[in-house]
Amino acid sequence: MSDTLVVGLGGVGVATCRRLIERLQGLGGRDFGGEIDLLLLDTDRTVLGAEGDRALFLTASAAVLDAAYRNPERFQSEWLNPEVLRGRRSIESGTQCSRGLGRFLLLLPENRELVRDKLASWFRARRGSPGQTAGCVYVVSSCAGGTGGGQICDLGYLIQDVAATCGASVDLRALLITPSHHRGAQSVAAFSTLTELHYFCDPHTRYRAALSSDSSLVETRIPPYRRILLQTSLTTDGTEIPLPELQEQAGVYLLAVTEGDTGVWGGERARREAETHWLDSDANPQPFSTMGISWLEFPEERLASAVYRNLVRRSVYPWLQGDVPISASELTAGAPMADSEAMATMMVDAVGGPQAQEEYLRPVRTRLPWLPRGTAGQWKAMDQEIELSLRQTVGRAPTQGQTGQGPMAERFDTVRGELVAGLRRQCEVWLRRDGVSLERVARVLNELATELRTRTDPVAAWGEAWEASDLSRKRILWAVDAAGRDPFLLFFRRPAKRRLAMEYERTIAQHIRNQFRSQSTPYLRELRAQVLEVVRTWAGRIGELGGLLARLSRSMADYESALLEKLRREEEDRRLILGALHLPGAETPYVANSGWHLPYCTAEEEMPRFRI
Amino acid sequence: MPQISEWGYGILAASLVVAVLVDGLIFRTVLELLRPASRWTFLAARVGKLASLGFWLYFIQSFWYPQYAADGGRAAEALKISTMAILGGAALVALVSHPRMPRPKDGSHV
Repeated sequence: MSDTLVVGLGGVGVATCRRLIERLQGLGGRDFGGEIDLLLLDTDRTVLGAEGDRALFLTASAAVLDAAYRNPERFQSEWLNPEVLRGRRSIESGTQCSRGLGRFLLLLPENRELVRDKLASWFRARRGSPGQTAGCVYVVSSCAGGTGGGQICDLGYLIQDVAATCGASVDLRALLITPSHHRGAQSVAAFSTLTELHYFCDPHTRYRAALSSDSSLVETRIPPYRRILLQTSLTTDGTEIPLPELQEQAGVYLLAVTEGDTGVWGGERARREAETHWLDSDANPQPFSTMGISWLEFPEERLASAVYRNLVRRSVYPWLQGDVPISASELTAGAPMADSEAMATMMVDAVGGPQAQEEYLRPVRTRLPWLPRGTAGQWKAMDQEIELSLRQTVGRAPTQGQTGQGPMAERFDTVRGELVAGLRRQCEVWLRRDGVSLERVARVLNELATELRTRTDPVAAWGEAWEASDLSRKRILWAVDAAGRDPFLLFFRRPAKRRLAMEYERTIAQHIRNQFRSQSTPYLRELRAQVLEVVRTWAGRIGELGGLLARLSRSMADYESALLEKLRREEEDRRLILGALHLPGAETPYVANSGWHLPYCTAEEEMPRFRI
Repeated sequence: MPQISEWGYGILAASLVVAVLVDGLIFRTVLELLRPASRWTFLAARVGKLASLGFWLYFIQSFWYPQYAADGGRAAEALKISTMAILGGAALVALVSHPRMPRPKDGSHV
């Protein structure tokens, strides 16, 4: 007695089991661990043909259907739309994609008992086998048909109930062949089936149906299957896989997971499934997986993992051993941190640059035509207006533990962002460049940090320049006042004041520049301190990453070797079907593309691989 | 007292106008040459005024007085002395009245 039972449900399920049988027959004479037990269920007599004892034909006579139509409570089929049964004769050729009818046929007491008896005999036989552990039951079906789609959920609970009755534990799994969404009616039925399964997989829902042999209700909150494997019919590039090929794939999959596995795959699969919770963080049931993922899990995933690790390890070589030189001047090309004058220009460009200066000089420019005739009081009023606007723009400078306020402080935030972004861009360029080592990047960043720490602004020179221009401004105002009283300027007061006005315009422009530059020094100091912090952090992290990669590189290489060695041993034992898979990319033969779909090998190529 | 003709008075008036023009010319020229204006305006004004005064007195002494108002050697000698005195006085006034920027109250250098 095998520890695996494959139940082919519906036309597609039965056809898949036939593929499996053909392959098992093709492997005839080999020393298998045991045979795969099969159970074929369908509502179409022609599909089952002459399958003997392992086939069960689920049918109903016209009288039963009529009785159920007229008296549904007798068959506990109140849930069924009566129109499904209306006028039907005995069912010999399937449900014609009617899921309701399919479910009704399974739950009919006569059919249900047939299925229960078959399952119970298998479970009892297994229980009698010495050394047997939990049995594994695979139900393979299409999720689009009336029989497969309509019965898949109830059959799962029925198998669980029979197993519980027999005192056996069961690892119950479903393999559902999903049609393309381009197929209208089929895709609708498939959607209904999947929705139903999804619904009952949620532990917050409750399943109730008359599954017991005495037609009593079975109630449970557990999902119908431990895992539901969906075999999709579309490749990642949207190409539809023909149904026979899907059945072929499903057959080989069943062969691989049963007879082709000596327990390693089962162990690995159990480990991976243990990592998946029944519900995700959004409370969605998670027993579903797809054919591609399961197919790749073993052994290809290990190989892909090893190859990708290898690629990753190779890709970090330049980071560890690159010898392309870089210099800090590249880093500061877009961010002139070492140039105090350029930094000051960046700081005051928006608030005191040429554009902004026009705004400050407007009180002078508008007064120039009549300023030579103006009194000293009018000159002072103009000067105070300019001084006030300058003071408002400068705002409050940052001090120890206190941030600045005003337009210049806002400009500070912008400049800081620009500088950090410029440094980050350049670092990214370096890290992307071939042959630049992480250690070198970290060293250059440290050099920049040192330069920033030791850099001092010409505060004294800027302060003196500001004082000089301020003095000039005051002297002009005094000269205007004195010119009004000086007798020696008789006849020439107006030309003298005109000259003074022109000089004032020049001086105040210079004074604005000097004042902003002088006031920017606390901001520049703060700016360097903040950028220094960022640069130090980057340098530290990049250095740590380089050290980590250097340490990991060796362990990654060891792990790759172990994986590949293990795979090689399995290949020598001819346990892998890997060589029969056409992995894309001839130049990198074992690297799959980003999609999970792998081109499937033909039967002729595959068979030699199963020469166990 | 010598009799001065109407032509003589005309020349005298014209010389005053020319003196003012010379003053303006010198004032503007000095301002052009010396920058900034706030520092040299008052000096330029004094240079202009003193120069034009000097030129005018020289004109009076060397041309106008001998031509229209001369009355003997003693008067000419007195005129020369008074010219020097006027010029010196004017220079003294210019120096004394030259505006000076007051020192700031905080004692810093101006």
